[in-house]
Amino acid sequence: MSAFDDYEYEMANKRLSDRDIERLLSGRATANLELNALAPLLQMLREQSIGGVSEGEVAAFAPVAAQAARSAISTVSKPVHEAAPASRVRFLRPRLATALTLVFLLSGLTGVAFAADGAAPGDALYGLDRALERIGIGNGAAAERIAEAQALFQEGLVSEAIAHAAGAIGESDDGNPGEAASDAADALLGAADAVTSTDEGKADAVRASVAEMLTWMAANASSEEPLTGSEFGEMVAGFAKGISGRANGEGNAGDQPEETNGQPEGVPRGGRPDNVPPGPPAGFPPRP
Amino acid sequence: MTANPNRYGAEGGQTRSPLGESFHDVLAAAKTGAEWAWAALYRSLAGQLTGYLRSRGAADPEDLTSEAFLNIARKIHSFEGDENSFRSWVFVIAHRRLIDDRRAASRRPAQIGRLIDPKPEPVGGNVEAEAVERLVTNELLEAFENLTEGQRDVLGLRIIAALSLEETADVIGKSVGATKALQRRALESLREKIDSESVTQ
Repeated sequence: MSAFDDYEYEMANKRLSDRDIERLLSGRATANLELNALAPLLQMLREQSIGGVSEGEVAAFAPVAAQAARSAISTVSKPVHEAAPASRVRFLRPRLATALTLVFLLSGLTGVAFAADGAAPGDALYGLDRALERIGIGNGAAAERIAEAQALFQEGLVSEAIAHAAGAIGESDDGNPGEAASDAADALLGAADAVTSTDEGKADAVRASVAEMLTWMAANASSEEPLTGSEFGEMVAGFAKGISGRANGEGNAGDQPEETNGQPEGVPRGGRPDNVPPGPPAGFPPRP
Repeated sequence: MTANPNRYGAEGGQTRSPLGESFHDVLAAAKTGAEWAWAALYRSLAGQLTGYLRSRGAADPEDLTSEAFLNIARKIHSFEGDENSFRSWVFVIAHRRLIDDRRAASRRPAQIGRLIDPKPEPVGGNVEAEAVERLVTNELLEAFENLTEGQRDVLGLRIIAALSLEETADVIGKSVGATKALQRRALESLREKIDSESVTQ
């Protein structure tokens, strides 16, 4: 930066008084014309970001929070965050979760949980559904994410369904899904992109591939001994490759969808594990 | 106390103290686990909280909002203070959840969050003027996206959460001076973008 630029920058900074900045950020006009030019943009940011809160959300959440507050009072005799050693806080968390769960079971609030459980992305109760899952209430985990992906698919949101399934793969109990699953999720996101840009002529083949993948994933997730780790990653990556290929017009894309037994391209024949039950019939139940 | 659950926080939205003088009653009732009080707190803050988390690219802002509120419910018995302090405390908790979420996101597929959606194509009216406006607005939105994480945190908390400079500094864990510098730099960047746009128009 030249000395002249330094001088320019310094002068510009001087024109931005704290008072002007405070007025701008609180939505009021300032004496500084250049800052005023930013006002419409900041207003747009404010208006677009802050959404309304539906009474349905409030009605669903209030009893849950109230019960959590009551439970915390009876469970913790002193403030958790007040100078409590980290080890003690870690120790308390499972107790709080357990207490919360018991309270839900004993207080009739399971109705709220069941109402929220099964909410799909975009539904008012979806956030609550996810929060309840984290304390062990509701179906939770990958099976429900995949059911949600199937619901999106049923609505014709094919790309979104794939991306949602990718998110399900990225979930794991310990927060670390592993390299194979992460790679598979990346491949699925690539497939979601490919689907977005595919033309109508290939749509049926793509949809058939996606349906097959979701069926397999749902069956695997509900299996007593699901495929995991690199085996799971390999299967999903194979499906992703098949979907991308059909979306890009490779292979038999545009013709009949390849007749498969759940076996995606790129995965060796016979790869479907014996312990994975067959998925639901074509047409999928919209929700489990 | 006889309280009407629908009286409090029905407007929600952008004001800094939507509950006003009733806040202390609401807080006391929330600590005892009164549903109407939690409904009031949720109405008064959830919109801004979700908006802030969405603007900061949270993969699932509604999910994080619910989690943050559950954390708040578990800890509220230890909170003492006025409505502004409460609001600041809520955003501290939410911001920490956001940071946890970002760490988890680094281990799962990336999801792209935008501060604001681009302006859609014009549908009638003065098409040419609207097209120019849309171009400028979208360029500015791009400038927003190009701010640093810290700058976007500060602007999100100042503009969407309506926190003061001091409260914002508290949430992001920086000094007031450092927060002010981030804020100034962010506005400078946006202003420079406007300058360059006006030169090229």
